[in-house]
Amino acid sequence: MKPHLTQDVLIQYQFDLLEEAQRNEAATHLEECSQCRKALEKLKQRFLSLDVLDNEEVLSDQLVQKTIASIHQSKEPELNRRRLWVKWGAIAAGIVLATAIVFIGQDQWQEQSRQVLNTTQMPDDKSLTAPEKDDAHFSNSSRPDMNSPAEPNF
Amino acid sequence: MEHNDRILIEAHCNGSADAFETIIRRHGPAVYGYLVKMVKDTHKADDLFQETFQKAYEKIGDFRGVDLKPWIHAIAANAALTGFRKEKRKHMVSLNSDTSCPDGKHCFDIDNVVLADQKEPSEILEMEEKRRNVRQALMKLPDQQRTTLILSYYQKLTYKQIAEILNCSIGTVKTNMFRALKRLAVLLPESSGGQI
Repeated sequence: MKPHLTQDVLIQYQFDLLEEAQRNEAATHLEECSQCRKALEKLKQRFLSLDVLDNEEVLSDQLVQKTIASIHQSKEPELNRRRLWVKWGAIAAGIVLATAIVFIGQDQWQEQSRQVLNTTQMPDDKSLTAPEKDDAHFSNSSRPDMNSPAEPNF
Repeated sequence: MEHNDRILIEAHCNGSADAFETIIRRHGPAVYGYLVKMVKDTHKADDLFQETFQKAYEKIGDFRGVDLKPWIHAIAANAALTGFRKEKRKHMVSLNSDTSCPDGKHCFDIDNVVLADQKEPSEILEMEEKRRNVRQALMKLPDQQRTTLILSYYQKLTYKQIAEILNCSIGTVKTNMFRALKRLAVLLPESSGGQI
């Protein structure tokens, strides 16, 4: 028979701390060795004393209520902080939007005024040349033809 | 259970006012049991309990798992261990000191126990003596060993879950567990087992 199991191995066996092969080996030994079985039983009894603390502490309803109240209390500043962020965020977004509108508006206004300028300048240019034509045409057409027989000759 | 946790979390995230209270009532007793065993007095346990659920409330929206128990225990363990580290820095705590507490809640309160258990005073005294011995033995363990033992023995969490909670390997958890048990095998009262 193999040597008896040490207390360390018994503890590891009892609390599932051994590798599978070691565990099987210890289990086989325990089946055959009453002395080790007794030692294991003694160890189990000793650790059973830990159970005196089971269900020793009861969570009071008072603590639950206190916890809920403290959560709600801390939620308020958090909500206020969020509201503040939303408020400042909205203000910032408004400013950005207004600035964008101003810039875009300015651009468009400049563009429009440029177009207006162009359109108002265009007839002037034409007026510099076209009237010549017109004048020429007019003058040609209205200028009395001295040679025309229709014209009364005073 | 886990499925219900998920439903509760979704209800909470959708604005249900009662969902989080249900979560506290479901997981609170286990978390409180863990904290009371981890710290020396109930005042501290109460504070840590509130801190734990406060953090859980803030972070629960980010929780993607199905089982809240290890997740909430992780918050509680972190709160307890951080508390110990802070206290140690202040040199205010001696783990080897007596576990008597100022509020008397954790100490022997014969009236409450008699009403609760309907036992003979001698039995109550004996039981309280055993509890005191076990508490003292637990408090003699280093923090990491104590938290590992409590999470495994009392909270019935697997070594894998404990490794996730304490953010370490399963091997480390098993080593801490073994060391704790080895120490307790010496510290625990020999005759108290099996008679409770």
